[in-house]
Amino acid sequence: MKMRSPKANQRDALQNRLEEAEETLRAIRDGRVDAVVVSKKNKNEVYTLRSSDYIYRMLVEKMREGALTLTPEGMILYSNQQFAKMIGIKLNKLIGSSIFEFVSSFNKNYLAAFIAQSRKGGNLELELVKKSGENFPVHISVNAFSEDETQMLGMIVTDLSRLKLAEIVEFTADAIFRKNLEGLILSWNKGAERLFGFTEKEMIGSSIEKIIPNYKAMESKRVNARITRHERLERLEMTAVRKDKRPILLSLTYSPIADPSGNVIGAAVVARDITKEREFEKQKDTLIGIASHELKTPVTTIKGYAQILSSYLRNSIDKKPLEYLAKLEGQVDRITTLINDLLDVSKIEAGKLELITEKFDVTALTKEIAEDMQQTTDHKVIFEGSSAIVVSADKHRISQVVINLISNAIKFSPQTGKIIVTVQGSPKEVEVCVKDQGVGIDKKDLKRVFTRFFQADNSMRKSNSGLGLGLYICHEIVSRHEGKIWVDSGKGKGSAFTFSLPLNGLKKAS
Amino acid sequence: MKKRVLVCDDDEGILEVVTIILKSGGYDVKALSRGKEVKKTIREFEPDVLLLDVMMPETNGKDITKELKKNNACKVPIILFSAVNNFEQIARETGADDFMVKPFDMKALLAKVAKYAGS
Repeated sequence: MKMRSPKANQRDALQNRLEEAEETLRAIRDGRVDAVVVSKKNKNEVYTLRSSDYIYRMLVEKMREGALTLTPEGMILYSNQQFAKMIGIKLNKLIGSSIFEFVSSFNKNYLAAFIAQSRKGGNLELELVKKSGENFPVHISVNAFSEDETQMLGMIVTDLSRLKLAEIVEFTADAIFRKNLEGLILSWNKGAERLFGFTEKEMIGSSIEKIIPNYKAMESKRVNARITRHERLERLEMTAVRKDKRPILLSLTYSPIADPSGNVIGAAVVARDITKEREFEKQKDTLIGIASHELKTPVTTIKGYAQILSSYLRNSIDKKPLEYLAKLEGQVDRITTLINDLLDVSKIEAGKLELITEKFDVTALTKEIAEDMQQTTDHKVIFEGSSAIVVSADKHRISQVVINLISNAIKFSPQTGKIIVTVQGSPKEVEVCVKDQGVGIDKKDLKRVFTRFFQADNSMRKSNSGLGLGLYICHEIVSRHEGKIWVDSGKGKGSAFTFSLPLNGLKKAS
Repeated sequence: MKKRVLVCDDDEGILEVVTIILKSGGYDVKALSRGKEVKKTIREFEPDVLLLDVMMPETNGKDITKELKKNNACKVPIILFSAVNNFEQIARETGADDFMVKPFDMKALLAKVAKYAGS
């Protein structure tokens, strides 16, 4: 049999004594026992319900704060019900355990140091951890005293979470108010006063229409229907009017408020002024538009002059100048790709990547691109696919994906090799695959290939510069078409990039 | 007789490059840097194709096209130079016949002009 440690035995003995004492007290309180007689050496002492200890005991048991007695090492000797409730654990489980079990990990050393240093006691704020794992802020007041020459600690624990929340609501920069289902304002914080210009006094009991005219006609049905289903509504945009009549664009978040029986009776609303944000977005779009025009115009000119020069030099004996001009054009094309990628990404980020859908044959499109790209490379670009497969999609954007995948295949196959482009149809979707025999992608990088600014391999960077946006853009384009894109690869094993597009009920054409 | 092309762009570089390329392709070219001279020049020069930049200060290519194409008054095919690739939208707005996305290839430009000039 395993020997129990002396500490464990001591703990059990203590636990038993405490349980006995608790049971006795309960019995006195319940009226099962009128009094307890304790025999002492010289006389018997009689403890009754009305004895002077009772009021202290009740004070501790009934107060809203947690009350604890601890050993200097932090073992809990006594706790009131309230503290057990705060932690969410049964009282008998709490007695005998260490207070440090319920202190958040980054506050453990802080509390230990505090107990060690402040022999007389003091106050501190820290975070405790509930049994559920949730942290909550508390204020702790510590007192040191001795009982039978044993040092002990008394602790009063105040839960600050409600208090903190109330403070946050009151002083946050965001406007927060509560309204009932009829649209009457029930509470109104400082942020709301600042945002709308109406004071708490002016708003409580008033209709929400004071700030959102036509609210009832426009929104209340839509909002109420959802909050009464206990749904949280996020980022609803509405125009409101301030006290000074200035209109503001709001982003509203509604959280349902229920009564104790669970019926939704209103909502807590957080309102944020997004007027300026919208203006900035518009300005940014205009700026990007101008920048793209201003960048593309000189690029067109450079390309034009290079082509004019090439035609002048077409018949010259020295072929070097022509070679350099071809390189110059190649660099111009790179700049163009960079500009277009940046523009696409800014469109994607702004949620403004528009699709212009039309019906077209993916097989024919892919074949045409593969043939065009064959003209620009020494790699062998092989197209496989025969039957026409018609999809309803943005032809320009899908071409962009195919071109990107084939260029990548060329770029990452330093030794000229075969690039196989296949188009395959099934009743539900069409799959386009570009397979190369190039450097491949390390398994650990496979998850990140479609993220922004991903660069395949550091050693390839010098020779294959770029922003790492191409595959991210491909992913976004395919996703917008409700398709999928994936890669099958390994280092040194080549890569196979495949994307699928749903046929949306369109049948394969013969 | 040579086919005539009228080109209007506020960028001197584009104007020069396009003029050289089109002349090398056998066209009679007139270059304008200001949009508001387009209408008058069409009457005098009687072009077979009109090339216009979308984004120009003062009078821009979209507005010129809208005005020219209103009620089908102008029969001259209009090709727009655009920095963005959403011609469908611009065409719907303005009635332009075709477009070239900047930066465009000069051979592609020649091919497109040939298509509309009927040469």
